[in-house]
Amino acid sequence: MNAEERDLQLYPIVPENLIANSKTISDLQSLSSSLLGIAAGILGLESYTGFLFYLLGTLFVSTLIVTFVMGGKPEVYSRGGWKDVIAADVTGGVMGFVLTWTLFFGLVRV
Amino acid sequence: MSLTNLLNRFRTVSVHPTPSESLALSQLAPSILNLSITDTPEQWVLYESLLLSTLRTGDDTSARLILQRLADRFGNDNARIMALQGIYDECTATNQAQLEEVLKNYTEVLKEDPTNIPIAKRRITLLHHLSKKSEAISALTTLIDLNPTDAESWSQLAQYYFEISLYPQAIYCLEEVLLILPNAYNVHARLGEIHLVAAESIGSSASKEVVEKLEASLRWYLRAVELCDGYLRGYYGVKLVTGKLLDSKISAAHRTIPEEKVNKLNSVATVQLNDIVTGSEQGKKAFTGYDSAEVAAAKELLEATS
Amino acid sequence: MARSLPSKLLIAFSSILLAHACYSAHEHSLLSTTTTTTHDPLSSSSSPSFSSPHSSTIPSGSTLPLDITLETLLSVSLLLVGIVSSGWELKPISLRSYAGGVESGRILVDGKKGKGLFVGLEERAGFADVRKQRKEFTDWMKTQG
Repeated sequence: MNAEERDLQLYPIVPENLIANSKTISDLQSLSSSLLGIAAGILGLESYTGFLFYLLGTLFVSTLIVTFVMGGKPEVYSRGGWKDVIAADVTGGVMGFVLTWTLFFGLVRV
Repeated sequence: MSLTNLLNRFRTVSVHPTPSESLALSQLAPSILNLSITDTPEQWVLYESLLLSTLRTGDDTSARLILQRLADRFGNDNARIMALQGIYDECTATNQAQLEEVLKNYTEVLKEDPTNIPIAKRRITLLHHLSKKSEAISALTTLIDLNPTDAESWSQLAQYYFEISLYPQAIYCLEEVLLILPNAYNVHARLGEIHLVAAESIGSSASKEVVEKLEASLRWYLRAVELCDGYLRGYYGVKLVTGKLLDSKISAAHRTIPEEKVNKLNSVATVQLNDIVTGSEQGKKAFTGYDSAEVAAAKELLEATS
Repeated sequence: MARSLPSKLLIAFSSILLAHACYSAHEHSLLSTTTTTTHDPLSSSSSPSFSSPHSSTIPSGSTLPLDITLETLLSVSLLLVGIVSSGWELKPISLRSYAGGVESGRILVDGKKGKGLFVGLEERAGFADVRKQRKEFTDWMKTQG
């Protein structure tokens, strides 16, 4: 038994809550990254600036999630704590972002 | 009232409700029976709970009707329906002979299908009810042989052994439960309680054996509060057992846990219990889940030792 | 998910602001492709109050005026704050705090007070002695008169 398994035996976690939490967070992500995409489209950002905007935007969203939803204690609600929230945030919403980004880019610019 | 509202009313009440709770629930019978049958799982769960409530309060006419509807939907040979039918028969039996008849019925069903677990459980309960305790225990061990991963059966067996003061057997059964559900903190607390009762059942109050049992009890209680923060029952046990261990009658030579540690645990438990008692007495929102009887007991313990 | 009134208002307000920014950007790009010289009353009426209406006179090129950029950024940030703060609930993942929350009534299971996570092991519904409970009930009724 390695150290991590031992830890899990000593301080068990509730898998259902872990799953429910990551679902809630990914819901928030897809919503927020779509909104970021709308903003990027309206602003008419192109190529790297757009992705830089997305990166900054998700960092902002992660901070909001950690402060508002998690009450400043991310380690209580997700296994990796801070890093987990940001990593999931950045990777999870790219598709939604690109979708609304291109959509609004096209809509706004005639 | 809607279906979900009604269902929530039933969910907040335990399997062993107080009489006034039973009365309130069974009085919901007409409004539930008048709802149109939507054939959703929730509705049938509601029917099942209502059936038990009406049987508790003696509303046999409603019970008959509910059972009829359940049987119409799921068929008379469904194991769960058979068990409900059995409960109905048990409750409506007026004399000993009729009860024996029900018991014979169960035995026959099991002869045909030994894997009918709900009926097997009914039979065991009825045996126990008829004060045939050793028969109930042997029937239960047979059931466990058949289905060794059923934590409910193990837990029930522990209760039966506990009732006839066979504490080592009861402890063994609960340890089996923990093999199935290692995080069940209330079973940890129960083990602490049984060790404590076992310690108190020993005559000479300061022997080595007593100390061993008390320390085992303390360890179970400590694991219970480690698994569940703010567990009233667990902290109550910690406080109680450390208090007994600190009793001057117990010689330090028998102890394996150092006295200062026991002292520290005692004060931690006191602080936690104090928090819970004051919190629930002030009706704070974060303390509304505690049982008022348990809180009163904790308060009494705190007052007795302060 | 129970949304609080302030975050509802915030979401409504910032959505309108975002829609307005979107419309302004659209109008702006429309104008920049059709007219490049005179300023249009339409774009001045749609610019927010914190900048002079005439600053939105369109220069050539595709860059957005500063006021629309600011409006977009502001509305999206507010919208994000509104959404994130609108009562999303997470549950503690460690058994210790979750079970403790359920016991103390801080955490509701399925929207109501739980009775502990493993209460089934002690209630043991399959072994419920309903006949005994029925007798207890009759006795209780007698004491009630």
